[in-house]
Amino acid sequence: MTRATNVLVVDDNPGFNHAARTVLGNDGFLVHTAETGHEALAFLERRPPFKDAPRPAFVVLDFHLPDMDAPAVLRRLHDDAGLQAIPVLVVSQADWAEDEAAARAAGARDFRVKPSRAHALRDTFLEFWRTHAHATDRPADRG
Amino acid sequence: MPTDAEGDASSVLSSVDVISRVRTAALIGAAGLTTYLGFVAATRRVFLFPLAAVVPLFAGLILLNLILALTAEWWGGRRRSIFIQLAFQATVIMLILHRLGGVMMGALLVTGAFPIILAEMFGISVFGIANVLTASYAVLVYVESSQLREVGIGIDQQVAFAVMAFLVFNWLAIYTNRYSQQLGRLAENLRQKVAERTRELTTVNQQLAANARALQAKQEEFRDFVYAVTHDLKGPVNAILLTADLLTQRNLAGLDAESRGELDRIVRLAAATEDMIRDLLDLFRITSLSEDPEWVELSRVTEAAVETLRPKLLAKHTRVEVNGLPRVWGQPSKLARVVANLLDNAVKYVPAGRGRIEVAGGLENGHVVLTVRDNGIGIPEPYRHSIFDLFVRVPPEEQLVEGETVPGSGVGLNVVKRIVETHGGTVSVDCAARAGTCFTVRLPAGPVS
Repeated sequence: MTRATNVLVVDDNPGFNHAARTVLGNDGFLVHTAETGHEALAFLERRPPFKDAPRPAFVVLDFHLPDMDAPAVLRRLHDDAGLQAIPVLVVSQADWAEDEAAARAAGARDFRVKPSRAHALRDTFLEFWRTHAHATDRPADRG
Repeated sequence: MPTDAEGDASSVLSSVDVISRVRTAALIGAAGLTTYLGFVAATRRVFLFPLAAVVPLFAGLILLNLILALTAEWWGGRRRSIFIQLAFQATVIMLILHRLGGVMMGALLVTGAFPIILAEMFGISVFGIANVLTASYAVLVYVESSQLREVGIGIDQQVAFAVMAFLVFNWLAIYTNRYSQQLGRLAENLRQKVAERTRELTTVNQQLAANARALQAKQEEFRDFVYAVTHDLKGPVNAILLTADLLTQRNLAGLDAESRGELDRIVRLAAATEDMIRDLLDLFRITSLSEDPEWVELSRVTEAAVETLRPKLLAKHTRVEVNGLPRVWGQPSKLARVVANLLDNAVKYVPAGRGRIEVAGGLENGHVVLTVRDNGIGIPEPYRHSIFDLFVRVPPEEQLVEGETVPGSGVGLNVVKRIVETHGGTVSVDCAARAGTCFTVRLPAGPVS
């Protein structure tokens, strides 16, 4: 049975979501996307219309979302025993120390400036995944 | 009588003011009586004044006034008690006049002016006191009537004395009252003018303060707006870059040279725009950051900047020399940015392999002077003034380093200028004599008062 590794990418810019889906898709990940914090939370909490949503191996979360910022999303995840273990990579347009501190304090495993080159984007995602996701979820291991 | 204006004025006065005025008037009364006694004592041989007969009366009146001054709190608020007191003094003065030589000492009648002026000061009826004086004088004439007849002054002349006293005292009262009214009106006008001006000034000040607040709010709103726009612009530019990059990777083989060139150009332009937006965001951030000033060791700040730049320095084999940097009073992370941006600028324009950057410092007329000198391509004369303006760069074709254009957004030096100026300092490019570029930053060495 094949089991793809699911990833949730949350960014209000469809261009970024598309790029993330492309670079990760090439590596065998199944990328889901959300454009707002509420949509992401609905996906993760399996609320309609995401009743059958899979549990992602990791989440890529933009710091500035139209409805809420990354720390607010992270706090909601932290309050949910079933979701707090999912590693979250927060990405942002700027490498501002206070944003990074806020994200990490709310439970982000890492904070990165959004790379603007495809290979750098891929490297960032894969490095994060290697460091923080469970080895058993590696696509290479799937049957 | 007190006029309306005076009535208004006295009703404006607090009871404390009234008490202090009453006390002053009583003290002036005591001083006046003492002076009068002095005059009598000094001229007693000339006019044959019987001093012993009047000293107890004088002393009594002087003492009375001193006691009244001391006890002003208890009686000063009551007009009637002031009137009674003055009427009493007026009659005693007539008694003194009687003892000094009686009606014949008519010249001394002028002492009657004294209670009339005091009455005006107290704000009680000057005409009342004037006619108490007149009545007392008439009584004096009546009492001395037989003596007067003995010296040949008939009844008709005695009546004329009393009438003259009536005229003199009432004329004095009218004069005092009018003079005081005029003074009062003048004072009232001045007071109104001062109040009016004060109101105007208060209004203008309030408007100024409101304008300043509105201006600050607008500035903050504007900054937030520009910041939000800038931030929101970065996302799409980032996505354009990623998308163009994906396209390049996927179709590298299938694209002809021209298309590949155009795609490269899109990537280059988008990357330059992204850099510009990043630097702009940095500018907003660093300039709106509020930090408490402290002593900043420029040597340590420079060391940190060199460390951050080390990959670039190593890549171009550039040597950095740091000499004699003092400490300076200012906001640490902003000053660190000044040094970092100047070094970053220098390393971009030095030739690979033989680049040299020299950071030196010193004190000059109470200012810390920091110079960052490089042996790079230098800045052509026409651009030296505008190089610190936002987005201004020397055109790429005029600043090739070994045939290559140098990337940049034209924000870094503007950040330097803004930070230096908020510290009360200046920055300039002024090493024209030698090849390369030399930036000089002057900052006040200590806390600016």
